[in-house]
Amino acid sequence: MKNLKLRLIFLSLATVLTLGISAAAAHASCPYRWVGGNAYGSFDCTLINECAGWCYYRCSCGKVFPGYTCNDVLTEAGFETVESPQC
Amino acid sequence: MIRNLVLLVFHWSIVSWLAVSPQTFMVREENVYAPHLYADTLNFTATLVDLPGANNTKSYWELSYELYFVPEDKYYEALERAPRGPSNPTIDEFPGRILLTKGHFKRTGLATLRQRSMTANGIPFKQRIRNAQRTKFAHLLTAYSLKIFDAQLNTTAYHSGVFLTEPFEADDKDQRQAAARKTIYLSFGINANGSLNRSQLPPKLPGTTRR
Repeated sequence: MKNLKLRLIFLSLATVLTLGISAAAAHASCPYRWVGGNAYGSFDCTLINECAGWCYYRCSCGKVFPGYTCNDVLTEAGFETVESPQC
Repeated sequence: MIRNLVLLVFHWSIVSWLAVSPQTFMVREENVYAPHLYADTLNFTATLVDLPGANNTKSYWELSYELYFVPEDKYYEALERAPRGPSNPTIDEFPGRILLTKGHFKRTGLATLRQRSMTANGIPFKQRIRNAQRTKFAHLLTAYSLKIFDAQLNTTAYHSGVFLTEPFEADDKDQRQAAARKTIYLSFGINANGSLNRSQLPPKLPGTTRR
């Protein structure tokens, strides 16, 4: 039980710290590249624009599973689709 | 398990600021020979779009840049070695790259946009690339280091990094078609709070629509 409490405290602290650090990092500087994959396929995104706290990417998808699109891959990865950079 | 949860939270918290537009994502076609998507020459334009202290003669802008071609096979070999998730690659991660041009300048007198722009025209491109390497999903890599001193804000911005892009872009007349990329852009801006904007898009100049 004590072990579980310690784990929960650690998890809470880690979450708060991680949220704070990553939020600051995301606003301070966008990574130039974002590579990954998920259940729908793989993607390679490169930074095209950073402004107003947003990171805009150009992406290519590889190995997209049948029945899915590059949009599915990127949406699942957490990218938001926008018409064009807002700044 | 805790580690996985933390990673999940970390991943979620960063990706909430990521965006793509429909014109900027596509499914990769491997090793498609596409010499028509290679311009004979490239233009390189670097612009410091916004600078609060532009009228202050003590403000200055220093930029070093290198433009490389990375063959498709070398690019994707490097990608296999790349970490999953976000990263900031360096040119050393792309062996086999071909240097197309490089330069360095330091400027003062930045009052006008013309003074805050530099262009190098006619950089030989297509002839520098072996015929077999003229494939659609090769990459152009711009590596740069910059230092901007804004005398009004009394702040200095330092940054270095690499922008990557394909040798083609959407055709002006039909966005669904590809056309040879003719100009490589490198655009920067200093915000009122001293933070730096970076872009490889054509600069949105005063008088054009922006939000």
